[in-house]
Amino acid sequence: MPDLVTVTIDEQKVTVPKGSLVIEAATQIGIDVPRFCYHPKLSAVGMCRMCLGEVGMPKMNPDRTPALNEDGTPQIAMMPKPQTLCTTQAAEGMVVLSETPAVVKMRQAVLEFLLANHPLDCPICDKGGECMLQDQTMAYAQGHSRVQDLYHLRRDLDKDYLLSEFITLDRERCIQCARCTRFLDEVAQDPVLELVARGSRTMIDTMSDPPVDSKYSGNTIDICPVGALTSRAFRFRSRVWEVKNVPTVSMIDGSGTNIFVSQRNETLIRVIPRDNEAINECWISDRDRFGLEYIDNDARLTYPLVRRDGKLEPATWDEALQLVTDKIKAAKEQRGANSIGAVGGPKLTNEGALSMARLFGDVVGTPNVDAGWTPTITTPGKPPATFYEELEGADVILVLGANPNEELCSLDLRLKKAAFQRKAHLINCNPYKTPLDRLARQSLIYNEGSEVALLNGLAKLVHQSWTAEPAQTEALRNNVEGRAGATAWIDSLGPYSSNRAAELAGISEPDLRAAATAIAGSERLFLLVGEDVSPAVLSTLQNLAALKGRSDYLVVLHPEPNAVGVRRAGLAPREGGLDGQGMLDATFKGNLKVLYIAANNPLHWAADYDLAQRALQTAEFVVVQTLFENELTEHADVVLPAASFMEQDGTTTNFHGKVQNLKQVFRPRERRDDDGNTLSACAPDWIIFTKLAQLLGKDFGYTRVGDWTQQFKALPALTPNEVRFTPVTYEASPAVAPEGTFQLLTGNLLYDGGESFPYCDRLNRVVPEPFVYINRADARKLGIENLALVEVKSARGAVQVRAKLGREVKAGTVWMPRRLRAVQVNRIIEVDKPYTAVTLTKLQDAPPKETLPADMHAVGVGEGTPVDMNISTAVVP
Amino acid sequence: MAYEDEPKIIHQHINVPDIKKIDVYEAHDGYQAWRKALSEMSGDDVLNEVKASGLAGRGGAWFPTGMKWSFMPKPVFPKYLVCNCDESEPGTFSNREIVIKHPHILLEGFMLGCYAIGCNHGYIYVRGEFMQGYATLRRALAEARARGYVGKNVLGSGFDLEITLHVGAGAYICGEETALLSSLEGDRGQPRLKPPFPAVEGLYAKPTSVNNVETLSNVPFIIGQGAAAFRQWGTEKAPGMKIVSVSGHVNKPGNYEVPVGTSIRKILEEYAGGVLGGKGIKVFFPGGSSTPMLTPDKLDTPLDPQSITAAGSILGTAGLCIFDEDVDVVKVTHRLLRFYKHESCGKCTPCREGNDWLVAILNRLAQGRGKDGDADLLVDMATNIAGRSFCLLGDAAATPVLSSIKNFREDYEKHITNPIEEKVFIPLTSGNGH
Ligand SMILES: Cc1cc2nc3c(=O)[nH]c(=O)nc-3n(C[C@H](O)[C@H](O)[C@H](O)COP(=O)(O)O)c2cc1C
Ligand code: SF4
Ligand code: FES
Repeated sequence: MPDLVTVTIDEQKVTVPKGSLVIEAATQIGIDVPRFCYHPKLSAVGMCRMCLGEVGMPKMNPDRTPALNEDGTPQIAMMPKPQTLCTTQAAEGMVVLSETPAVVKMRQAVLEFLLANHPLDCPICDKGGECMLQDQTMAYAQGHSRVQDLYHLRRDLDKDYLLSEFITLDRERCIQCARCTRFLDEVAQDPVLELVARGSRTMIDTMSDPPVDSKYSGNTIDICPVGALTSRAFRFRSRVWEVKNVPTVSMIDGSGTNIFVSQRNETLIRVIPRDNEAINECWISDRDRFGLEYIDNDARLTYPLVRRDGKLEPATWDEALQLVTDKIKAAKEQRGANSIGAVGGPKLTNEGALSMARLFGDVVGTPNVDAGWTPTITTPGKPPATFYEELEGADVILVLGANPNEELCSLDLRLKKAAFQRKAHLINCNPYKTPLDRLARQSLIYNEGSEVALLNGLAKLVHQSWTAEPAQTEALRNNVEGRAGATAWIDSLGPYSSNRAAELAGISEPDLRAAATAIAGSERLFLLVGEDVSPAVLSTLQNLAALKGRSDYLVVLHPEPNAVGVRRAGLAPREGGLDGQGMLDATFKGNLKVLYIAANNPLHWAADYDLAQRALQTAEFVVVQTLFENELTEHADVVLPAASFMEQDGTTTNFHGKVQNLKQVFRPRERRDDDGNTLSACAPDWIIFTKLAQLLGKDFGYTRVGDWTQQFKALPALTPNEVRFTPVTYEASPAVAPEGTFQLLTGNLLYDGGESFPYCDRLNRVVPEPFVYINRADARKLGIENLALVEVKSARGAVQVRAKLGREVKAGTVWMPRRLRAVQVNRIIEVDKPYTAVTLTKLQDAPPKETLPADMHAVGVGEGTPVDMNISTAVVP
Repeated sequence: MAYEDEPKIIHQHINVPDIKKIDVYEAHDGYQAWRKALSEMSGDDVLNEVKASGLAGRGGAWFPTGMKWSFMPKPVFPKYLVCNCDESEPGTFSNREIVIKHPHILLEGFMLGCYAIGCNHGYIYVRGEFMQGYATLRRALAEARARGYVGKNVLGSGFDLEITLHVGAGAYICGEETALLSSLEGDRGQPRLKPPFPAVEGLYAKPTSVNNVETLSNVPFIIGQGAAAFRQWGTEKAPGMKIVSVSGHVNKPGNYEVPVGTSIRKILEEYAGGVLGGKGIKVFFPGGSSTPMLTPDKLDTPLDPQSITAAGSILGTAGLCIFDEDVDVVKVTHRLLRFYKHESCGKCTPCREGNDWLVAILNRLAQGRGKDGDADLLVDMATNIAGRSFCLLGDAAATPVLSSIKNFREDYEKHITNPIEEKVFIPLTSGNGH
């Protein structure tokens, strides 16, 4: 229990933890102290002076006893100057007056100062109706200005300063509260906005190239207390009181970010954060904010397509579904259910996934069901229910094989908070540098494939440390002795001396030791691992977690929205069934005839593009359930238009297992005739699957999405992870790229220019040109300069991209995003090898600087047309 | 006794030719206190001697230096001593003379301060416009380093000391100690919240003491001659001497080092040669432009913190600025407010916006185009700044407005229709760079 203190605010007593700010204590008892610069998630600065109040402390007698009045009440000595309640810490016996006439006068004064330079353009301001300055003016201002006759001296500043692709700044409205700069410095840890100049000329400006280079920049729009920062996507589109804010959950990434979607007349006006302390607090990523526009795009499919004479043509739902039913029935009859395969995707809702799993697993009866094309691991057991709360309390956090900045935005912010505010010891382990390294106490850049050696080396050191140190021994020994597999596991660590482990991993031995010391001494160790590592790596992590006695503090990070939910729903191979990769293989070999793909695309996400393409060509019948026509639908025999997550109710599960409600924002997109009659519409996945089941002879009897939700919630509960030890030995040989070649590393990119990007105007502009990271020293040897056009060539094929030089990658390795626009690494990766070796050849010098937009963004600041993506992506066979 | 013959502490040798060279300085007992401290005294001894001397901060706040140093938590390392050489207060120029003419006395005092608080790396923050002072300090520091007064294992004592000079970018606010620290760290020069006070979390979030040039320059004397010798001058509550920067309508403007408590009239008449042209005095600032103006009836006030406070002003930096009977107080205030407006850091609303509007109103008065009630408007606006701003700069800006209107409201009334006469001499000696 923290120390508590009791303060009296406007004659009400309130008890709060010592160190709380008075403004927070006041909020607790319903006193809303006016404020501009104070924000509960940011450091207090006391800049705007709006929250001034009168503060007094109990008087003390010379003998340090409290001085009392006649009636026994404590005497209060009021401080001579008013105090900012946003910076004053509550202390025992403190007395605060927040609404006296003197205080009201102070507020009027601050407002007078602020308004003297304000443009007062509320009628055309996007913030109108949600503006703190407007609200306070209504509450406190005097209704006239004493400097009216000096109004011509008002500062005349930029009204529409394009700060970035997303944000425009009205400098006349800015009240210099530094909320935006503090958010970026403290929460996002991207110090890219700064106050410049001084005195009354103070204004904000961006310090980065590209401008406001942060994945969270849009939050500054929300926290701006006035209309200085406005969204370029929302600008002048609506008054805020005319929209309906529908609460739902963003299915952009695995975070499960809570959002409000503002909609008006079935169009998407804007996306703003919805507070949820357990998930995203009050922040969302720019991808959430600007990346959902695709939903009301006219290009959305609103009717089924059926291939007739080699051409896809519009069809009615009845026709299309009947055709699918017939084909499934025929395949089943002729070659058995095993000739049918179904692959869903993590963008399905829990209900969509569950109905799909039941349809194919139970009704069709095929074991070939999966949720993706490459094997991924999942969190063993059950993550802690209050995941972030516990994560923030961790003293040591080890992140392995993940890049939250590009994959999981809410986690990224929490890790930054843990490291920056809570001073957690962050150990970031990756084969290449990631943005988190800036905050990590230790970054271990290991050789890809050496994870087991690295972790075993750590485990051995931790284990040794407590056999050597009696104080730590007791608790730790209890965690191991008598546990399943403990002895065998300890024996298996034998070969992983710190020297050998460090050598295999390609890191320094003292670094390994330092990490082990932190882990050994930690009170709460969190282990976070990317979903792409091998099951063996997961086992070694499980051992490490077990060693510290908290197996539930091992959590797998899934970048995709409902990765956990779709697997729980049963989108996984049944007994003897094929996984996604296996299905492609079997289709190509002619063993699988019907392929049903929902909310997924093997051409993008399969490990081997060629295999996926050949499989699609060989398949007898391909059904694709999706939002847009694309490269995949070209291979489809039937295309079914699916509703997006905003067009349906339901639930989704985030990466740490939290199931949250989705709320329907829009009617499913529809096509109408000139009179406004609906001709056709897309449909939620669960309806399509329920219908198909019906047509195949099984009526689930479910008519509402809630029926499926109930079924989902009735799934067997996850059991806590069992504490046990499994010996894992390091098998892969250290990767040494052959002379003249480089090891190709890949990873995710948040702005990858994927399927929905072309339909999100703003977001699409910040997608970088395809690139490869090359180590500076390697590049120098090859004569490749920054931004030169290079060919990256493997035994399978080649792509042409821009070189970006830096120290992000170790010498001997190069890094490419798994996909970026049309450049897909799965066209050159060698799936059957432990790693892909590539050669680099310079094709063209870097273009002269001025012809390249800032940091190779498709567009720099300001209005502009998207640059022609003329880089060849041809695959050289 | 003529001023030249009076005993002095910092100014004792300041006019010795080439005293800025280390040989000359050493020939005048230079670095003896530093040698003595290193060979005979512990850091605590030095601190206790300074405490006993009663030396108080000469940067304006008159906070006891020994006490400030003893607030530094002992077991935290590293800790820092930072010398505040950002002197920018209009009417104040004592530090400037020290660094230009007599840099070694500051360096020696700085070294002693570092030793007293256990700081192994100190910083001297030099005002951006003090290019000459910076150059002399740099040369002096190089000489001191060559003689082994700074560096590893100073004079074989086992004490390591590094001194870094840092030049600011020319901002008055960077004299405020927390803004100075922000600026030193490479951030915007803006004041920080207190608490935490610098003694707890200062430079790079480590315990830090910020001390004025003049404060530190007194330390070699205190260590060399003892606290009692220091206490022979000054008052019980504020012992020692103070360099008074006299400027304005006087015959001999300049820096005069006098015992604290010397009467203003004596300084003015005996040392500074009286008012120019033998005129009367209309008003004066006793302690720099941020201190309330006083009228000539207060000329006999002893120049010590307590007496000046009792007289209705503040001793501050003891920048004594005299205005003769013909001065236009509105013009003085106008000029000062333009300075404060220019120097406001912009962090807090009242100072950032308020100064703008004060100047706007003073502008129209200066042009003789005022409005009825402008004086009241000025008072109200200044009241809305004073005590409400983040740091004392806001108060400093409100002060001339409030004190001049209090004493000379009729001057303001006059300017509602009469413009300022341009030929009036603006008597602020401190080069504030504009
Ligand atoms: C606006 C403002 C400007 C200041 N400027 C200076 C300055 O130029 N030099 C200085 O020594 N102290 C200045 N101070 C006082 C410092 O904050 C601090 O009190 C002083 O450096 C402490 O040193 P001392 O204890 O040796 O006096 C200023 C204070 C304020 C509020
Ligand atoms: S009073 Fe406010 S604006 Fe003025 S200098 Fe201090 S903090 Fe900056
Ligand atoms: S809210 Fe307290 S000063 Fe701004």
